[in-house]
Amino acid sequence: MDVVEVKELTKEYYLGKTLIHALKGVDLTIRDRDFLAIAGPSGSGKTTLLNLIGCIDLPTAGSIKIDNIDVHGLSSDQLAELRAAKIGFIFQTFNLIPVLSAFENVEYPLLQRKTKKDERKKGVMNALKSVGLETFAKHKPDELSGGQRQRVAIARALVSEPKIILADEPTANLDHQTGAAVLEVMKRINEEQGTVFIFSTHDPKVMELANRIVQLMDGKIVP
Amino acid sequence: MELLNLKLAFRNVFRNRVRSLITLAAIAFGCISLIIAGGFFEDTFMQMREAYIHGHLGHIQVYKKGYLEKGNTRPFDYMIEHPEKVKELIASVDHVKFITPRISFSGLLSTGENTISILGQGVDPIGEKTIGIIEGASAGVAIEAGENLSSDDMYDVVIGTGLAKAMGSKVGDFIILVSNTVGGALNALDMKVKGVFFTASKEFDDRALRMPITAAQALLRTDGVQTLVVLLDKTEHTDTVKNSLMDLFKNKNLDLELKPWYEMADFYNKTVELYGRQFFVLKLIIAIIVVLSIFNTINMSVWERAREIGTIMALGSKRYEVLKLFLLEGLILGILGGLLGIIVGTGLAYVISFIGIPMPPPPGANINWVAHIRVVPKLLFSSFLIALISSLLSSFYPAFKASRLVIADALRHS
Ligand SMILES: Nc1ncnc2c1ncn2[C@@H]1O[C@H](COP(=O)(O)OP(=O)(O)O)[C@@H](O)[C@H]1O
Ligand SMILES: [Mg+2]
Repeated sequence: MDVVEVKELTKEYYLGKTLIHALKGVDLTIRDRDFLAIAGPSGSGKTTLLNLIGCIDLPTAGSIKIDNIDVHGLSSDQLAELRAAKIGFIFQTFNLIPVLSAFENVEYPLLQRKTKKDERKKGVMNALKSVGLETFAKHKPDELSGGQRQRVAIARALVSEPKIILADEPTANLDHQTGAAVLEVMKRINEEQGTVFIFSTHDPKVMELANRIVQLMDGKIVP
Repeated sequence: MELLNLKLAFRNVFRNRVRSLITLAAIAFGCISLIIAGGFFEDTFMQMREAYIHGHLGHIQVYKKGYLEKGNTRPFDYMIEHPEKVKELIASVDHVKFITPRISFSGLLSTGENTISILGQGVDPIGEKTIGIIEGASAGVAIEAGENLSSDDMYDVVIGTGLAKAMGSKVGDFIILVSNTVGGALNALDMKVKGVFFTASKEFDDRALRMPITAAQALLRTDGVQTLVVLLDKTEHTDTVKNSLMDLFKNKNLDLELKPWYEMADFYNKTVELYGRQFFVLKLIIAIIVVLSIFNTINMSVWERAREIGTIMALGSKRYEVLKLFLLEGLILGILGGLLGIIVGTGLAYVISFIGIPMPPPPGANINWVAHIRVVPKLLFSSFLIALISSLLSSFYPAFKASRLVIADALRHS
């Protein structure tokens, strides 16, 4: 089963008056249970590709299907619903909401989906448990280390049981050891729950954990 | 979700404590200024109004039908013939506290050297004394020299300060009062100046002479009166009583008409209108201050939190939810600032009122007075509403901008 199907994907940006071709026709199919690394040097288009798959940016041309739904022409609200239902995000800079506790951060996507209170509580605690942070539920983000913050972010991505979790350089702001531990957590979830992970990195050690690697160069996939 | 939004908005408001406090202070300051200025106007109006009412207008004046239109030229053609009966009838209406009769006439006053035309008023000394009392304030008619009329006076007069000056008369002087009788003949009385008075109206004080109504009736050779001055328990009841009286006159087929105080207090009405406009400008200025300070706060906040906005939208929040979140933050600032302003403003108003603001006489008057800050619910409500509406208005644009961010761009924002 194909979870993501990308065809002829093109993205152009204007930087002032210069046109930048960030993606120049990318074809990519991602299957169930994939743990896929997008590798490539800085500026090669990794973030752009992940943003387009995550439906948080619109392509210049080409098509994207998420779980067999063509996202072309969907309204911003429909895209928001699609993201809430099928896609989780992990960011390089963690992006936890600073005024919310770890528990509340993880709870956020469930409130979005109007999950019942006791169900919510169970879900949040399970997600925190699976990243090993159940005892830090009440901590605010600024009371957590970088590795802990990223694990809370993983729990937040995980809690709504999405098909796909996108992670743009999830280890880039962590030291090597912590980064490896965070990736181990992701890998374990992929194996236990079958969640598809698509993550970008330029760290060869991180790439090794992937069961598939796609190499990007200048907006194209290197065959 | 609503609860979460509220929680988020509240915590976000207090995230940048210094900035939010400054914003709250600006809003509160605006409300305080409105309460103090508005309360000052409110008190000025109230004192001025009461001074007019208790000075000589009363709350409502009742006349014979036609007097208002033609009484000026033929004052004696419109007399109330059986004042006692009419008085009794009026007294039966709710909120009517007191009724006193008057006769007005124009005449000449002579000291032998000076002769001046005057506005004479025959009054019931006891009745006028009752009207002149303002609860919790100075009397409407104040005696500057000598004494006021009393019930056993007959050929005594009190005259306005302006008139006394013009005549060069002082207490104890004898004067000659000349007037036409109701029948058209000429009549004169020797009178003694018993006192000099002043009211809130300089115009009145420059021409007015008051004497016992019995002496005036003797001078004019009549039993009737022209005016019944009605005093109520509270000025607020003027319109209610006015309507009941009009119904009463109609039902009993009485040949009477009336005029409420506010139709006679022209100067008061003009002052209220003028101050009202000034106050409107003040409200506008303050609304602008509130709009600018909240706009600035929310706008900076949107800018600083672009990545956070991108994050919650990536997690599935819709545009209108982001809009709502920032509107809510503006609204919370408005509510808190407004409440703070109301509390501090009311407190400050009480302190200022306790001390009192010494004031020079208003234009057209002779009396120094002490102003207070009168905090009325209407005023508190309107300042709170201004804080609320301007905070919503000013957060709308930044909130809209936040909701329209391209998620990918917002996430790249550092
Ligand atoms: N919002 C943008 N405006 C202009 N150019 C952009 C924007 N986002 C990315 N780019 C450009 O697109 C290219 C690909 O960027 P990106 O996808 O961030 O690469 P990577 O994540 O692999 O470093 C780069 O040349 C980058 O400068
Ligand atoms: Mg990147």
